[in-house]
Amino acid sequence: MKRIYILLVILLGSASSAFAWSDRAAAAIAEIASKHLSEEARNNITAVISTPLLENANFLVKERKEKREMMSSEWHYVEVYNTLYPMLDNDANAITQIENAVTALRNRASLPEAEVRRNILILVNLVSDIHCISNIRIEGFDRTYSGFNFSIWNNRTGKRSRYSKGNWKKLWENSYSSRRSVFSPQDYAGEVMHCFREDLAGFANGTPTDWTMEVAGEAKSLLSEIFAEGVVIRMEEFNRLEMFHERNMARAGSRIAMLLNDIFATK
Amino acid sequence: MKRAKLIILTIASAFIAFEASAWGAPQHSTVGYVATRHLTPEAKKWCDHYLRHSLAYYGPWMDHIRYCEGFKASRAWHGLYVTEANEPSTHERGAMAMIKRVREEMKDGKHLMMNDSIVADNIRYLIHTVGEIHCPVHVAFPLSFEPRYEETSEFNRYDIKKKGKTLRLHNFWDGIGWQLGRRGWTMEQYLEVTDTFSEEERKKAMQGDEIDWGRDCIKDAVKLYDIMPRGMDIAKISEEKRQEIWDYADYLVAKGGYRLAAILNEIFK
Repeated sequence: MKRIYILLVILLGSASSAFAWSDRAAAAIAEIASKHLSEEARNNITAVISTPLLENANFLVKERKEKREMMSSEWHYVEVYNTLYPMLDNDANAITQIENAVTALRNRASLPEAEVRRNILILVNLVSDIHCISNIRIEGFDRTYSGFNFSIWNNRTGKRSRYSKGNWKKLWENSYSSRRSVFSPQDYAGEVMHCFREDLAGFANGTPTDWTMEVAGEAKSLLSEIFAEGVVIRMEEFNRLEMFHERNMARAGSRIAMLLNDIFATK
Repeated sequence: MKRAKLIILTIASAFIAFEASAWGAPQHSTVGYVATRHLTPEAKKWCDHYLRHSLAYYGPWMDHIRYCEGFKASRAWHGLYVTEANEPSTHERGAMAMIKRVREEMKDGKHLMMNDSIVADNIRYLIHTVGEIHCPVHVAFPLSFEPRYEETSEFNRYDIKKKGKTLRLHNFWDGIGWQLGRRGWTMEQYLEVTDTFSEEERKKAMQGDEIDWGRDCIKDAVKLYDIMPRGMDIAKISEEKRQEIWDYADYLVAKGGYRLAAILNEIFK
């Protein structure tokens, strides 16, 4: 019984980070952002955050583990109408919280250093999160609220045919980054930047609403065309979707840098 | 109690990754990483041109696509088959024929005449396969080979133990990092313990062609049966034994990396 209890504690502990990207992917996104910061932004950020951004990537999740920011668990998500336009009726969504952080940082002269730090890290965390496909909840697609399971077929027949359990949230949160478990966040970031090297500059424009709608559009088309409750996904499909995962990492990293560069371009 | 176990398993299944790693994936990625450090600038340039990721990234790729449509033939390229004469088999079923084919098809600038995506797939095949033939349980001896492990298939999948429970030797090697205390290691850590050959040793390892390398891999694979005899319990081994297994594995990964660099350097000369 003791062993079962220990296993439960471990599993529930690991569950607490399941609000968006895995720690590895989140750290890699923060590293991509760091690599695209202007010198001015870098200096300003380093003045208030002594450790690298990648060490604080899932800031809100870590804070909640320490019993702080306890009201923030809904901030990781955005609900969108079927038209893909975000619902912003209350403050508990990523877009509003990003905008609040941006406003606070633009008026940082009146803020204590700890608040500047907090807002930078909220911005990093939540801009990442709106690029995680499973963090977008779409009207008319109830499955995006609750998450859902599907099966991945190993493409073999007969006795060696296997179906592994897939889950919509887990797919986007850690299935692909766990394939890269031997890559440090820096190496993983390097891979993603290299792959999308021609696109990174083009990603860095728009607003959090535009970005959410873009990711929501991808989510909606995947949900409509491929994923139904209990659907069986072939390995080809599973492999192909890794590109979506990495492209959204690249988008998130370059957009975090874009916001921070803009905020810290002025004193 | 049964109910509690069922609940645990249900929760656990939500957090376990879809795929187990192969050789493992860390070893395959390290082969690519080591190779990258020993590519000529020309080879580096072409690999970069054809692949959108690093060699290390594509280390485990063949394990991800082996049953996918269009790639099923690749299933036969994961093993080095040994003939009755204790020589690497060049039969089309096996790694040797694939490595030779890719080398011949692409060298002397012939890659320029090929479709980019085919060249990219060929490079990805090499990354995995050159690593794979250095994994001792991917060397398939004939059933007449002594000592005989005929009851356990051509890949010598005899059993060892872990905490008294049976563990296939092959499965141990598929997840050696996980099984032997290197869980969570990064490529930099693996690089420190693999890319350690002197320049002379490295040049020697890189000499020859796939057949020479295959012969060497056969010799190396035989050593496994002394290092890890049947029935050995890996939970009960000494620190020295653990280090001996790792030294052996790291040495093979390094050789795989050097030879991958050698063949890519030759192709893109």
